[in-house]
Amino acid sequence: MKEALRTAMTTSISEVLETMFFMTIDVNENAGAEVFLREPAENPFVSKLVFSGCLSGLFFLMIPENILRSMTETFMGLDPGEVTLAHLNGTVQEAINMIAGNTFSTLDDTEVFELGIPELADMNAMTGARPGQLPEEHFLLVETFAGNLALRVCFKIE
Amino acid sequence: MAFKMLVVDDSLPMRSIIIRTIKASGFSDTEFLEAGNGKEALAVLESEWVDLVVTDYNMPDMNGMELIQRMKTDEILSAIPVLVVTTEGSQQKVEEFIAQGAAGYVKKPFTPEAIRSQLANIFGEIEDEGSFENSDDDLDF
Repeated sequence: MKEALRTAMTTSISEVLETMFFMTIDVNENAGAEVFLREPAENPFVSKLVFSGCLSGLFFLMIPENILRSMTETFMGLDPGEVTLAHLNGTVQEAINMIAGNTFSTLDDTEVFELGIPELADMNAMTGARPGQLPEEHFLLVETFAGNLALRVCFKIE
Repeated sequence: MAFKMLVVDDSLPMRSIIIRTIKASGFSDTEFLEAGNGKEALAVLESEWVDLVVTDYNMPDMNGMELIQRMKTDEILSAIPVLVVTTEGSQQKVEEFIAQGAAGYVKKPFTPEAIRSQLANIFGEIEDEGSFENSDDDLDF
């Protein structure tokens, strides 16, 4: 189940970013948080989402502001000068919502997973210690032409 | 033909792309109303007739399933078709939406074709100057 989740996350983030944001990406499944921390992103936006089901835990998504601005312009059909902070926050929250939902339907569409409402978070959530009650985690570094995104999940198998 | 539609999603960017996609699907003359959750949607529907409600599932205060249930218990609102656009992808949830009376279902992430196909099921084929083939919009995927 643990490795199947990693595979589903990789498939999901590719589908979401390519279908909704027209982004071509490479997912580095083996980079880990250490590689990510070596080159910290400028002005990162972080969202988180709680989930429960046969797996329960937390998803975190980090997108640097320059990439998020471009994604928001594409997603909402806005010109660069029209993008506001509310638009950026909305996009990073909707992105994690779609990535998490798509991950679980890719993993097993016969299981019901309950998703929480996406929230904003800070970089400590992305790189900090795993919550004590969640013994497992995956960290994906997502490489784009303009920089790296990161997706982290902390979870336990129920 | 001009339509009026209500788009219900707690995400402003998602409401925006759903509206753009519907407009580019042959509904360029459509008037759109927006709501951030099921409660807000019901408040809008108290004073506005719409031809279609497009709703997310996972929203604060009142989710999309509750919205459909409330609409189906109302003699007037039960006649309005509801299209569910959501990240919820489990077979059980999809069957539940349909059982509750949803007219269609689209899973996020979606292509414009997926939305257009559902709109065609609900309204029949629509042709206007805003259709994909004639659109200058960025929705060229």
